[in-house]
Amino acid sequence: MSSPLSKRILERIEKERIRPRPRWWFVMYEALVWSMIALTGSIAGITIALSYYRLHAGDVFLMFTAGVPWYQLLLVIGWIGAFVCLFLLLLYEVRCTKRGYRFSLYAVGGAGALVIIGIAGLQYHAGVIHTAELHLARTMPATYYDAASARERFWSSPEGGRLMGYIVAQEGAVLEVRDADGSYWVVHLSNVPDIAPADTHDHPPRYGLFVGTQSGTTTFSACAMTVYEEEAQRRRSATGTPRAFRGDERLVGSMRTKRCAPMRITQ
Amino acid sequence: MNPNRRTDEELVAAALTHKEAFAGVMERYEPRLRRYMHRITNRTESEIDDLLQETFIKAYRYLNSYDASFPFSSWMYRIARTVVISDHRKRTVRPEHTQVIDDDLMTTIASDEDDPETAAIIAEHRTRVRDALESLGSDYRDALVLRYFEGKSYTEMSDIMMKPEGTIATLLNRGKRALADALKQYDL
Repeated sequence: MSSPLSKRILERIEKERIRPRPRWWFVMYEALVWSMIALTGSIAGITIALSYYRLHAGDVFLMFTAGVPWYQLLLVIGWIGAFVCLFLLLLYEVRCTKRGYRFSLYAVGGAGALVIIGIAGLQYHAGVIHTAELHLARTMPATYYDAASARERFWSSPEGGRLMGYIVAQEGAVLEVRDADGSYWVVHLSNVPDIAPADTHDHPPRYGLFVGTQSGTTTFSACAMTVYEEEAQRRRSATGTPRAFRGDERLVGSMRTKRCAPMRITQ
Repeated sequence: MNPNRRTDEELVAAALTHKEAFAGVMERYEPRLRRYMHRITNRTESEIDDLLQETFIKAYRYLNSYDASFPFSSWMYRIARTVVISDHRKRTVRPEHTQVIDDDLMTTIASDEDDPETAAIIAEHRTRVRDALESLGSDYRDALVLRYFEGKSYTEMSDIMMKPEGTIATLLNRGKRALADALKQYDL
C-alpha cells in the first residue's frame, strides 16, 4: 500500500519524465573531475618551477640585497602567495572523497605542496623550464626582450649601487668588467673574500651582477654578486661588442656572502 | 515478491528498471527520514513533505551513483541531510530556530503513568532540554541526534555527515559537554 507522499512523488516522476541519470554520466563526471585535478597539478608544478627559475634567474634575491623595498619585491613574488592560497582553496573544495570522508586540510595541503614542489624540482633539474623559457624567447621575442632590456636598465646603474657587465679579466679579488655601454670598470671584491677565480674568469664568457657602491669614475666596490654563463650557441655569436643581455643565460653560481648595508636605489 | 522482504540493494536494482519499484524504497525510508528531518529542523509537516519529496526525487535521479559497497540507508540519510541544509541556506544564512527534539523523544522521558505533578515537571524539563539542544551548533546537534535518537554507528554517521570517524567522536564528545553546560544554565 503506497503512502500519499510516495504516490505524489511517482506522479511527479511520471509527469516530469524524471529518469535516473545513466551510470556512464557518473563515470564521465568522475573522470572529468580527476582529469582536471591532474591537469591542475601539472600546471601548478610548471608554475612553481617557473617561479623558482625566475627567483634565481630574475635576481630577486640580489635585488633584496640591493635594498629594493620589500613592497616592490612583493609585486614580483607576491603572486606566488596568491597562487598558493588559491590552490589551498581548491584542495578545500575537493577534500571529500567518494565515501564522503574529509581528510585533514593540512595533510592534503601539505601532501599536495610536496608533490608539486617535487614535480617542479624534477622539471627544473631536467632543464624543462629553461627550455620553456628559451621557447618563450623565440615565440614572443618582443615581450621577452622588452623584459630583458628592462632588467638590463635596472642593473646598469652604478651610481645607484648596481652594476652589470661581462667579466673580461680577474686579478685576485679585482675584476675587470665591461658594461652594456662598452665602458670598462674595475670592480673590487674586498667584501667577497671567498670568491673562487674559476667561477668568475673562465671560458665561456660570463657576466656578473654586482651590488655595492661606485667608488670612482670607473671603479666599483662590490659586496655581493651573481655570475651567469652564456649559452653555447650565443658564445659563437659573441663579438665582443656591447649589447643588451637577453636573459636567456644559465645561472652558474650565486656567491652572496654578506648582505649589503641598505643604500639608495635610483631607477 | 513482497517489497518488505527485499533488501535495499534489490529494491534499488528494481527501481532502476521499473520506477514503480522505487515506491518500495520510499515506503521503507519515508517514516525514518520524516522523523530525522523533524529532529534536525523546525519545519511544518507540509514543509517536511516538500523536503522529503526533494530527497526522494534527488535519490531517484542519482540512483546510478549509489555504490552498493556502502549502506543504502547512510546514502539516503546523507541526501536528506544535504536537502535540509540546502533548504536552510535558501531561507537564511543561519536557521533561526531549530526544533531538535520531537514528541517521540519526550515519550522516552515522560510516561503515561506519571501523576499530574510529575508530568508537569517533566513537561518543563522537556522544554528546557529542547531549548538546550537548539542552542548547540548544527554539527553537534546533528551528531547527537544521529547517534542517540537515530541509533547510528560511527561509520554510518561518518558516511552521512561526510566527516572522518575521529571527527565524529570529537563532535559527540564536545556536543555532550556543550549540552551539559547548556543544561546547567537551565538548572537541569
